[in-house]
Amino acid sequence: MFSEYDSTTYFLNALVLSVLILPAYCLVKKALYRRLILTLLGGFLLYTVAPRLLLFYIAFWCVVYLLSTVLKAFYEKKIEAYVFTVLLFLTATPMVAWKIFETDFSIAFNILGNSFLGLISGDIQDVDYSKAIIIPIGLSFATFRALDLLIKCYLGVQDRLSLERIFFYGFFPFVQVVGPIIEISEIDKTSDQVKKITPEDIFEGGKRIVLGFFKVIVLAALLMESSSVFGGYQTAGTVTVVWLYLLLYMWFFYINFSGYSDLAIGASRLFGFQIKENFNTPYFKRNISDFWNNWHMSLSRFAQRNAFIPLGGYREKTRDIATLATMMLIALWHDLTIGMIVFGGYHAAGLVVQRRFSRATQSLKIPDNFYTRSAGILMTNLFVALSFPLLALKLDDAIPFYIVLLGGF
Amino acid sequence: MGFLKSLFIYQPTWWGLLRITLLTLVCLNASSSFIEVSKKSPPYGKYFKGTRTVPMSTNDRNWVRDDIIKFPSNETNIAWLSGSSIIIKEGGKVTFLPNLVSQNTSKSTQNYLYNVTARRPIDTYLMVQDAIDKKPDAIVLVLNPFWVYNSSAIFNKDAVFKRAAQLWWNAVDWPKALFLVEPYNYAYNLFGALFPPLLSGEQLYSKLNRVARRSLSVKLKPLPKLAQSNASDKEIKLKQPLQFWLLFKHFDGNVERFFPKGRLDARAWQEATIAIANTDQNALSSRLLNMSFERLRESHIPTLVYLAPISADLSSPLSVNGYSRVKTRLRELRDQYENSSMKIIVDIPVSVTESIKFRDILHLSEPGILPQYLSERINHIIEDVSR
Repeated sequence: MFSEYDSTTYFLNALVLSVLILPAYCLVKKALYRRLILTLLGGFLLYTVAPRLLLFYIAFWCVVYLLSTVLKAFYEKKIEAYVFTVLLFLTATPMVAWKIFETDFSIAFNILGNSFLGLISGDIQDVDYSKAIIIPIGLSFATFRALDLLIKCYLGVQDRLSLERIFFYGFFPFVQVVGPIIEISEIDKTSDQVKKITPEDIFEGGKRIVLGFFKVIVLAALLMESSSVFGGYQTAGTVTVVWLYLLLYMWFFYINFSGYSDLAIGASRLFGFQIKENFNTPYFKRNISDFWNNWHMSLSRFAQRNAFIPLGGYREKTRDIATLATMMLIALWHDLTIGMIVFGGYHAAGLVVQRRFSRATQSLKIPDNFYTRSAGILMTNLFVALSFPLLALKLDDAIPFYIVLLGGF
Repeated sequence: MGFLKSLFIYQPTWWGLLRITLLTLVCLNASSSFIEVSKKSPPYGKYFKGTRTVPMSTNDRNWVRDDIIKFPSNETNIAWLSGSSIIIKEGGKVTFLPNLVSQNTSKSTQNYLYNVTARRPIDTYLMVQDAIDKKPDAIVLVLNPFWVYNSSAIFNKDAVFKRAAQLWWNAVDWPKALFLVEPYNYAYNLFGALFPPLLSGEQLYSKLNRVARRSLSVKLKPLPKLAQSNASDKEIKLKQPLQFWLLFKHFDGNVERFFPKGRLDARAWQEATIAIANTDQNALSSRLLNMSFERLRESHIPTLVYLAPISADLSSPLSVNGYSRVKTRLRELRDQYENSSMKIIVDIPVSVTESIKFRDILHLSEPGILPQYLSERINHIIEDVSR
C-alpha cells in the first residue's frame, strides 16, 4: 500500500558509514563512547530513511525507558504483576494499533511525525517532506525487542537500563529495519570492557556481508517475479505453473529475508558483535518442528522464551496449548488478520500432529536413510509452501488461490 | 593435514586484509581498461537528431552525459536548465523550445540541455553548479512556478541530485549535504568516478539486480494481473510523497479533489501545488534558489532567468494567491541579483503569453511568439559574450 522502503539502500548506507566509522571505533577504548558511536549511527540511518522515523523511535525508546522505570518502582510489590501486564500492553499498543488500523495509523504517523519535525527545524521538515511515505518501518522488531527487555527486567534477569543503554539497544544500527530480534545480552555485555576488533571479525563480517548482498541483489532478484503469482494466478494457465511459482516464491522469501539477516549479522561482526543466527537452512529440515527451530530463529526464540516455556510447553498436559499460543504469537507478529490466525492454527496443528506421529512411529523404527530423509524434507516443504498464500494474501483472496492450487481453474 | 588446512582455511591478518582490499581495487581498476561504458540514448533522443541541442541530463537517472567535462570553446554554447515547460506537445509531435529559440538567435548557438521534468529546488541548484563548472558562454535558467518555492518537495527520489551528490561536496555546502544526501550516494559517485565502466550511469546494485533478473535461463515472467486490485483511492495516493502531503496535510484528505472518478486531474493538481508555495525567505527552497542565483552571479557567465509562463485561468483563490506570492518574491530577487551579466524575467509580456496555447496550466501545445521573445533576450546576452 505504502511505498516499499528498499532495505538494500539502508544496508548500503550502513556499510558506507561503517567503513568510515570503523577505524575511529577501533581506536576508542571506552565502552560508553563505542555505544554512543553505534547509537548515533543507528539514529542517522533512520534519518536517511525519513527524519520522522527517527523522531518516532526516539519517542518510542524514551517511553520504553519510562516503562522500565515504572516497573522498577513496583519491584517486589504486590501489584507488580498487574503493573507489568499493563506495561506490556502499553509497549505493544503502537504495533497493535498499526496492524489493526494500518492505513489510518500510517497516515497519522507520517503527518504527526512531519509536523513535530516542523517544531524542531524547518529544514529537517523540508527534507522529511521529500522522503517516501512510509509505514513505521521496523516497529514489529522494535516492539518485540522492547517487550523482551521489559520481561527480562521483570524476571530479574536484567537490571533496569539507563536511557543511554536503552538507546544503544533500540538504535543498534544493523537490526532496525529487518531484524533479527536481538536480545540485549547479544550486544550489551555487563562489563564495561571493550572488545578488541580482530582481523577475523572484519574478514568474517565482510564475508557475510558479501553473501548477504549476493542473496538480496542477485539470487532474490532471479526469483522476484515469482511473487506475481498472488496477483496473477488466474492467468497462469495451468496448475503446474501456479505451483511452480509458489515454490519459487517460497525460495525468494527465504533468500531475501535470510540475505538481510546475513547483512545484519555481518555488519555487526565488523564491530565485534556476534549476534545469533536467524536462519539455518530451514528448507532442508525433515519435519515442521525442525523447520520452526531453524526459520526466523530470533522470533522463534522469543516466542519460545516468552510463550512456549511459561505456558508449560515442556509439560505433557499443556504442551499442545503452549504450541498453539506460541504459533499464534509468531503468526500475529506478522499481521493481525484472520488469515494469520489461520496461519498460526495451521502450523500449530502441524506441530502437534507431527509430534504425535513421531511418538506413534517411534516403535516402528523407520530407517534413517536418503529416501526417508528426502521424503521428510519434501513433506515439510509442501506443508510450509501451503501456508505462504496466507502470508501473502488476505483470507478472502487466499481461498480462491487454494482452489486453483487444487486444480480448480 | 596441516598443509591442507593452510590451503583452504584462511587465517586473516591486518596485512592480509589490506592485500585483499588493494587487490580488489587493482582488479576494479584493470577492468576499467577493457569494459566499455555502455552507451545509451537519452529519452526523447530522436528529437535532438539533426538539431543543435545536446541533452546533458534527463529524468532518466541511467542516462547522463558524464563525458562532457567542459563545453567546447570553438562555438557559442548555451546551457539550458529547464523542465517540462519547454516541451511542446501537439498531437503526436514533440518539439523542444531551445530548438525553436536557436532558429531565431542572431548567431549559431549550440544548446546543452539539462532538462528534468518536475525539477525541484535541489536539482536546480546542482544543475546550476554543474553548468557553471563546464563554462558555457551563456546560461538560460527556466523557473517553474509550481516547483520553485515548493517546500513540500525540495527533491525528488530519482532526480539529478543523487547522481550529482559530489556537487554538494564543496567547502560551502558540505554540512547541508550531510543531511540531504544519503551516504551511499557519495560512495556511488566516488566509485563511479574511479571505475566508470562498472558503475557509470546506473547504481551498481540496480545493474546487478537487472542483470540477474534477465539472466535466468528459463525466464520467469511476471504473471499478468487479471483485474485491477481493489485498493481504495486513499491507499493509492500514499505512494507519492507530494500527493500525500497535498492530500492529507494541506487539503484534509479530500481525494476527490485531485482524483475525480479515480483519475488524476492535472489542473487541480497544479493549482494545489502552486497554492502551497512557501516563499518564506528562511525556507530551504527559498535558500536553495538564492544559492543558485549567488552562484550564477559569482560566475559572471551571462545568464537569462525566466519564470515559465502559465495560462491565465487559475480557478482557485488559493492558487492565484500562491502564484502572486511566487512572483512577488521573484521580483524582489530580481532587484537584488540582476546585474549586467544576469537578467531575470518574472513577468513575460501579456502579448507573449496570450499567443501561447497551453495543454493545462503550464505545459505547451503551441509556443506562439515565445521562442522569438526568448531569442531576442538571448541575443542580448550573447552579444555581451562576443564583446
